[in-house]
Amino acid sequence: MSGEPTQNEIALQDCPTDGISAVKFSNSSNQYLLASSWDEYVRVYDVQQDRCKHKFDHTSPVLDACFYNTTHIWSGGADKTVRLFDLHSGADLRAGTHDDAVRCVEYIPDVNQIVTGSWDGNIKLWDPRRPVGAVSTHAQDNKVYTLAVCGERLIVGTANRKILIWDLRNMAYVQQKRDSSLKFQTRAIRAFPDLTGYVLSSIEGRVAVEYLDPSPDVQKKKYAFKCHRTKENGIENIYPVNAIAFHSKYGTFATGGSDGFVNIWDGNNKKRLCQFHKFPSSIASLSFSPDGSMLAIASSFQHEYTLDPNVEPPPDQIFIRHVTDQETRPK
Amino acid sequence: MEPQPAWEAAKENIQPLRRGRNIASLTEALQNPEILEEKKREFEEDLRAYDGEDPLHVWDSYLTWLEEHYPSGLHGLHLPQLLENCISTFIPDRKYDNDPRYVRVWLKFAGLQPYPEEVYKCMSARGVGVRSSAFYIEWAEYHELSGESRRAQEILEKGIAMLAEPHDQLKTALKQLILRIAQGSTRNFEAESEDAPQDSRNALSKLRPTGSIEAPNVRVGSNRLALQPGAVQGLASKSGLKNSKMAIYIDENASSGLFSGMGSLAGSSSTAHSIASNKENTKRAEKMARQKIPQRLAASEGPTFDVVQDAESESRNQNKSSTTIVGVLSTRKDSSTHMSLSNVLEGPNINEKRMYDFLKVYGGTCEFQFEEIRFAKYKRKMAASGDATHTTHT
Repeated sequence: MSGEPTQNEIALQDCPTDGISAVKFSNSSNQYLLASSWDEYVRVYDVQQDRCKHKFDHTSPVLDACFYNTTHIWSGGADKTVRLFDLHSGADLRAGTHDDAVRCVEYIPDVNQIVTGSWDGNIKLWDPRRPVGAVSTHAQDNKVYTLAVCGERLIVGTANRKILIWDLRNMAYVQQKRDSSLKFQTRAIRAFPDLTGYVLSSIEGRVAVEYLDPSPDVQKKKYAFKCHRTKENGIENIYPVNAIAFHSKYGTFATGGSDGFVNIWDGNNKKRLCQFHKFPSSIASLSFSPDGSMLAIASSFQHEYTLDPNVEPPPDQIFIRHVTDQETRPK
Repeated sequence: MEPQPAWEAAKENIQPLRRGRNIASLTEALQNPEILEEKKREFEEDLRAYDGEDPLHVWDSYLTWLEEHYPSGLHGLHLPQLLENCISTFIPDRKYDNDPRYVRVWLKFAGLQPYPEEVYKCMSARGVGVRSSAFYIEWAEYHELSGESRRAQEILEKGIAMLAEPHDQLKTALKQLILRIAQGSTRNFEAESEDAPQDSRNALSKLRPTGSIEAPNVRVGSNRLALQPGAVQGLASKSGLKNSKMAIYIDENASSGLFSGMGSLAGSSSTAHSIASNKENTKRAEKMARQKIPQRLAASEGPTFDVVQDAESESRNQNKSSTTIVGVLSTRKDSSTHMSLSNVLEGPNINEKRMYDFLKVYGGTCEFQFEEIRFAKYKRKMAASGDATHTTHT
């Protein structure tokens, strides 16, 4: 179940030199992984050869990035800009801006668009084939903290624990507006691969499993549970749950917390499948490869608390773990 | 004709401040509301990103700025919560215990509570403000207004014994209090008949000295020192004598409004009171974990079948329901004062520890994400290093 770093796990070479904000596998290839970082770069790794193939300068801390296809990457930075990089030509282009730092960048395969969310309280949709300015802007009332793509829907998590569910086929109004069922700030949201619901995590050691269908019968199934807490001398330490990643084949999901642990859960049976060993620092981001054979784990201090100036945080690292069916398949 | 100043048109929406209002910031607030949001955001970032010698300075200037730039009051800003956050932030730092700015924050917080004495006692027990005259004067004032002049005197004497600074202020306050007791002019429960002129405007009565250099110019309530000679006053006391046989109904709420009025800053006494007493509805839910709420015995005892009603059983039911209500009320009193203090002094639960900086996330009037806090720090670091490189280049 758990133990020390094993043979089925590698730590990537040439890691970002400052906080890692996101790691994401390519949509179609198990070979490429991107990592965005506070060191102002977006890196693309070839995980099979264990080397950094491309490195793009965003000239500002990068808070999120995503693959559009195997040759194009979109990134959003603290400098309020949305940029895209061409892996073939090495060219970069400024697609447009928000009014505040861009916090989330995701690709929406169903409508072939890019969505960005910002602390300015808006989401913007972009056409990747014509990257000059946003297609449309949609107000979310509060600062956008996280967002998830769920087929033709968008699930946006904002400040003040609001969850907004949009339908991309009709963005004239917000389809559903909910309060988070967790009491504290929303940290991450990811959608089920079967598109019926989403998993939501908060900064206070809790994860909720929720369903989109508003009918009471379906809503009855929603639940939340505590995790990423450790007991020490009778005191329970509660950590933020920073990352969620779904296994596309089995519908199980991994969560990563500031306790440095990664857990894999079977949401349907309400069971924990396994827990990996403790990583050197907070888990900042998680991503399964498209075929579900690998899990990328970013271990990077989140500045959840003010560090003693004399203490260096553990180095930022990205681990690629080959996961087995036993670890990820519902039992 | 001269153009009308901006505040002239909005004056009924401007709440008075004890120390008076700065006309420049008032005009700014009324004319450029959009700049306010930007400035507020900057303050919120400062609260989280400041890492200099004196973090209280940021809080103090933010609170002052808020008062000055939200002239119609701080209703939407959860002021008690903000003050509480400030208090919690500096509780571990003993060097601020007798910092006049920190003591002021505590006193403002106390002023917003329905039972400020709890807060005063807590301050005294923790040693916050025990060397500050302002603390004793405000505490004594509270007792004097509740009609406990002896207790007020004791508190001032205690302050003098503790060598609170400035010493003169405390001595003057005590001297004046004794004078008022001797004249029998302090508000007493035995002399309720004097309540009538209490809130009326007296032309020639003396004013109570305040901490600031400027004396207030409104001669009502706690600002008025005594029922001293003066044409209006003479009339009032005469009528008071005439009416002394008549029982005067004293509204409890009104008197508690008085308490909060004396310490509260911009919020009107009634809203301050309601904010504080509604606190149980706005506080974070996990705080309930350690509280024991008395069981409502009567509530669940309703019969599941029809009972033949007679007069006796009806009266018994009424008795039951009335006791339930009494129980609920006493719980509320408990939770509004005691709960908030436990919020201030302890974490969510003794057996739990948050492994992130809770007060940085929820510290100001709005919440921040870890990345926002980090970026606020990053921006300031860049600005500082930018200045440094700039100076080395030139």
